Amino acid sequence: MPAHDGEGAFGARDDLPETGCEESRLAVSRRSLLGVSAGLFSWSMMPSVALAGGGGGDPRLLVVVLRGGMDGLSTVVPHGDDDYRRARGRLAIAPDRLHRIDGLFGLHPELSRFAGMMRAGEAAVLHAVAGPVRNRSHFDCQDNLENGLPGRSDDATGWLNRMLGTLPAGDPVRARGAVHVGKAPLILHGAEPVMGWAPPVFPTAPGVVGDVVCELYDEADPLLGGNLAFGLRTHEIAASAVPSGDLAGLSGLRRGFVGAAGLMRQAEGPRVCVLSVDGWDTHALQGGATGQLADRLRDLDGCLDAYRRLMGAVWRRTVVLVVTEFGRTVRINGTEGSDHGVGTVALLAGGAVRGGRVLGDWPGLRTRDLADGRDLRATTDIRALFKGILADHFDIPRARLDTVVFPGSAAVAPLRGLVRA
Amino acid sequence: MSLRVIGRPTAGLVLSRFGLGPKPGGPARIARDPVGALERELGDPRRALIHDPELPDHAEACALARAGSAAAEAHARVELRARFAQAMRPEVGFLERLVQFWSNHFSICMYKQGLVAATVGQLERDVIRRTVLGRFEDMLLGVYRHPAMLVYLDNDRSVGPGSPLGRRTGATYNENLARELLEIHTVGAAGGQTQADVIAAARVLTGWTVVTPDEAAAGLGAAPGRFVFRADRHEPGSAQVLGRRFPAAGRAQGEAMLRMLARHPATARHLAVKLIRHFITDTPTARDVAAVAAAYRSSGGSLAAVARALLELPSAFADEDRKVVPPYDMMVRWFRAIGAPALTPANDWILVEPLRALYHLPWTNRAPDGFSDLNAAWNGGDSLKLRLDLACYLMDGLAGSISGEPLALARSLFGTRLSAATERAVLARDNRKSALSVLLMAPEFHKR
Repeated sequence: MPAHDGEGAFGARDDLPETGCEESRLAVSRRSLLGVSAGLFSWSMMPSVALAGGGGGDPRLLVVVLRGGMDGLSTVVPHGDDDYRRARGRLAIAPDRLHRIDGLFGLHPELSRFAGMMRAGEAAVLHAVAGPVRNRSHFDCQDNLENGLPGRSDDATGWLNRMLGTLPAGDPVRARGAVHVGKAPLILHGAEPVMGWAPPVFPTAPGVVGDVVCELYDEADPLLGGNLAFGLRTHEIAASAVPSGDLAGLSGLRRGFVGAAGLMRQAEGPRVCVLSVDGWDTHALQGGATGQLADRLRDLDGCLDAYRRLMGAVWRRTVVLVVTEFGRTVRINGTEGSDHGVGTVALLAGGAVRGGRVLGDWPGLRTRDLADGRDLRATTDIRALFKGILADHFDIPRARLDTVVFPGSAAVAPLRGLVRA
Repeated sequence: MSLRVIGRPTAGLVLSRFGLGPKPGGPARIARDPVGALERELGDPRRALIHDPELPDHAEACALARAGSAAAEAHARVELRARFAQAMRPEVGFLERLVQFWSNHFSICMYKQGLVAATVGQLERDVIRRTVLGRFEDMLLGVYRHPAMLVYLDNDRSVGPGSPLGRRTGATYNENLARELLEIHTVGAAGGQTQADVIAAARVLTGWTVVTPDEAAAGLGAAPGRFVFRADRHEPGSAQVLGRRFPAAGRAQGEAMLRMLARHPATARHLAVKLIRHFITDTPTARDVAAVAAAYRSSGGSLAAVARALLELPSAFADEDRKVVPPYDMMVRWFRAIGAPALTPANDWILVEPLRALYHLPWTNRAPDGFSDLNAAWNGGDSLKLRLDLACYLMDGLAGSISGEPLALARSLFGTRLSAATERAVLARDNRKSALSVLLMAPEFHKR
């Protein structure tokens, strides 16, 4: 935060004390003495349960939503496609700059750490993928990415929340729950309570004030009351899992990933986490090997690597899924960038991933191969990827995936084999 | 013209649901005729204006951008302080609520570029505030002729491929502004438009741009950053958008298209839904939407008429508060209630940092659809905890400057709307700071 000189009603900015001080965290809360409803706070009171699920047991999932429409053609470059250079024009990246995957594909130069994960078999790419809604609208396509429905809808629940709801009540993934880092995303909206976490800003309110307010809300506004109590409980868990010292000096984005790792590596912590990254809507001055998109990819690459290191031993049970709402036009536009498109990439990373390859059905870049003569065609429905991961990593039965988690998707076969047993 | 409201429009409801929140003694002052207070505001649109000779006019704001993005963002803070100060003034503040609503409808992110940061506040002052009770199409045209919107959505760089510049350089259009014109600003996502309509609208809007510094230096435009229509990059020929054909007419082609979209029945519905969702409920009924949309259409798109229609809905003065107060509005309510000191460059972080953490800092929403109007965006446990922490932190610093007993303050703010539960909660803490913190967290502050 910026330094301020002078007095003002609140004094100098440096007066702001460290958040989450010992005293406030240890203050006995009347609410926790009284006990709270099992549904919301079951994780704190659960006996240890037998570990279930795939991925070697006790699976973790981090979903990273890249908002704005990431240019898949520059992220995972089809250098071996004869039409690539012609089709992309000034957006094309020279093959010798890429981290080569195989004869057809190479990774953007800034994805050096992700490239290392690929070589270690811990990362994979799915190319030419899109959701079922392909109208190139940020709002519709982001919503569709997150609500997992077959078409446009104003439905306000997310597929990841519905997935949690299908798990048996005693399942550790459901019990440990999900957390969003930063703003609450649609993908986690729904009946299952989820935690929200962000780096602390102000000192924690005294427990006694929180108690009075919670009691007031219980009587006067139970919905807000339940949410507030949940938020307070989340803070207690997070305060020990992510000490503020770990976050000092990091960029906002890096803090998000560090916080996610801090929370997810805890034995008692959430098993599912979602965070969002803005800034992928490169209509102007997109750049190629260097430039705006390259800068974003470098940040993402560094964050994924930091997350991997912080997860430590738990990394081998983790899948990171990086998705975006659509790709971009093959041809450069009038402002040295690209407009909204269709087909793009999804990235997978994690010790639980059976990786080292690019999956998907490459449609080609001749004009007649393109969607509406302008965009990379999508040959895989992204729900197939989601279903495959949920099936292999969390043992969600096909019937549930087809009906509850992704309604109306019976015809979309799960992409299996991406996650280690 | 008197409003024909339905239900019990008490002073407390008027202040809370359609105003900026009470100042101490507010309900008592307007109790005799709460609806009259609303009528007076609707009858005097000049009250929406900010009178501050220190704030730049359009030319001055554009010139500010030349000093770089850091200076421009510093200026955006000046504008934010002025906007917040304005919210402290009215007794009720329905006009100010409308200004905030329409500004968010034409949401712009100041981080796009220095020119945007330097002028977004001036756009709100000189376009939104001046047209808040005028015709929607005039607000739309004013916004679309302003550098903040044109640059935010990349139209300054959009070139018709068939234009002289396009043919010379191979430059072409981008769809950004045209898409949001249809999806967000006028007919809405379900307005019936196709990709072909988006492309056609994009072509019509080519040439709507701003003067660059080089052009200004060469005498090719009034001043850097100012709106200019460049015929040499405008796509020639007629265009068809949503079934209407617009013959080639240079800049007038775009103006005609904007007016058509403003008058479109889908726009009437789209705006009605948004207004009701912002002020009354997450789930507007079809009947209420139809009533407000009808007022829009029958009045030729008068924003005064839709404001009145909103107040005359059966649901407008229903007793139950169904909307969560979003963070900016909460800060306005708190500061009005406690008589907080004016914001200065030294202390405005007390507004800015909480709003940044709560994702509601004006002019910073990255996506053009603006800050959400749905409760679910604002009532999460992490946000509520932050509100609680903030309330305690504020009272730690300011309790000493608030006079009187917390319970007396609560009564003077909320009158008959003060619940017994809130009274008991305020009394539950002997410590004055704690009691005031509890008061700031009372549902009366966070629901409307």
